[in-house]
Amino acid sequence: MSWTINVTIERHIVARPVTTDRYTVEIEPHRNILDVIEKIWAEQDRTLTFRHGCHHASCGSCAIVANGREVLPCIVHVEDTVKKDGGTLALGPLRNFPVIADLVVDMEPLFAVMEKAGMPIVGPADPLPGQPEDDYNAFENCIECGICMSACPVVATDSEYMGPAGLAAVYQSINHTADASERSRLLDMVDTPSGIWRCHVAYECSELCPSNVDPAGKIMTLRRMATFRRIRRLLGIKEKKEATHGIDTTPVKQ
Amino acid sequence: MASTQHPSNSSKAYPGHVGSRPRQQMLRWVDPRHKSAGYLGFIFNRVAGIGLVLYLYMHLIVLSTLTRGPEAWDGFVAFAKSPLILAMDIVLLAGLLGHGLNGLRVALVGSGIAVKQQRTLLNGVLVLAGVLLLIGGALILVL
Amino acid sequence: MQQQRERYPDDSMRWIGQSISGVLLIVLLAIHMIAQHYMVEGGLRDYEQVMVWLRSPWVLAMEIIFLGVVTYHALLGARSIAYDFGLPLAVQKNVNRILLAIGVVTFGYGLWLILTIYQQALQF
Repeated sequence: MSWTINVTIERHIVARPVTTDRYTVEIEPHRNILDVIEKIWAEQDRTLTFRHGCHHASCGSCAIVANGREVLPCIVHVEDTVKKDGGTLALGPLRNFPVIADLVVDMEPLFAVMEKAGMPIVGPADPLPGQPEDDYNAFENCIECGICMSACPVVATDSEYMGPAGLAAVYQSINHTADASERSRLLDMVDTPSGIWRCHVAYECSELCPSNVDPAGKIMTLRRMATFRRIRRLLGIKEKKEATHGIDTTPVKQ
Repeated sequence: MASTQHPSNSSKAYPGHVGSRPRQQMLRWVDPRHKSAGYLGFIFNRVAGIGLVLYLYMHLIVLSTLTRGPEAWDGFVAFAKSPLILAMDIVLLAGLLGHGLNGLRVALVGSGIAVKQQRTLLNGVLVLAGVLLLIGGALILVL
Repeated sequence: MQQQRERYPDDSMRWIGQSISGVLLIVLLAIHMIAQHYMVEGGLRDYEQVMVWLRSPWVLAMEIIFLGVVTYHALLGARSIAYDFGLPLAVQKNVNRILLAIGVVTFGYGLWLILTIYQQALQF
């Protein structure tokens, strides 16, 4: 049985003021939000600009804001967001990024910080809830969808802040090197006012991350490392050459 | 294939930055809509923090009444027992309990301690603050 | 690398400072609330009761520590909010100076207030 839903989409078109366009769409409630967008594009409005790739939460390219929350529309069901037949689905681009057109944002701020962090694109992921930590899960972690950057209250006001994805990437980089001086350099990079100390522990990034990266948890672990390093320096305790800051530094298995 | 060049490579040329978006963002942290518990805790802590700073200065000014002798102070004490002030005292107590206990959680989690238990800690803060508010609020009304 | 360390030596210290002062405030505030409000009939000490309470040098010391800790914690919190707005470096420095000045004035005024009331209590 199909639902009839009212869809509003923020339209960002170069040299025109931002408008909200309305569409009525008939769709089965178990279909995904991306299906709604594609249906509008196929049947009603060929000017609508959106981005997608894999359709299964691997590429991270389709992230948008649906009814106020950051989502990957390729994996979120209509019924989970719209709730009822005749309901409304309000779509807009990610926040805190420059908008290129309609639902498409410029990911440059995210990629810039990931590059700075030396983020390994492929590495072992954290285990999924309820699953053992083993190589079975070890494919990739962050899909660089930008949802955490869009949801973060600090990125919204401070463009200098490295943001959840970048800081989580630095954590991953520290975790992936056994070189103590490189770990120290990476920790220096984030032990700054625009790094880990700008975070306000709102946890919205971890809440909305579709890949269970838990950026907030990573930021907190980085803070523990920085805090303990500071206390050690205060007490005049020399850092061990192979200090691990209490984290696993086993090199990545290929 | 023909391609159209943007007038400038600067992000300001994108339509999203031409509208009111950047200005709205300065206060976006305070928007509680569609947010999860941790975010609401963050908003509460900050709003309560700002309120408590304002209260601190009000409190310091009010305490100067003590330097003006018994009549001035006892007059203020009588005024402070009016129902409106008592109601505001309960709001103040809620702010203190919430900010203090959630602040304890943020201090622990934000120092990398009990990171995985942050949500359990948040629930604990809610329960403990609620119980203490009930007891403290009742005492304010009874005393 | 070394330069960066020296440039930003204080953020972890500020975090530790804010956490420790927060914990201290919970303890001091609990004592303050119980002693000033919950142990007293009517919920608020009258002039005579305030004088009796403040006569003790221990209470005096505690009130001065309380004043210092609460001022430090409040203004560090205000600084953190100000910094969230991505201020330029020059403005950040001014924010620091202004908050430091406010802190000094607040502590000075509070100290004057406490000592004046303490004098009154001794003569009471």
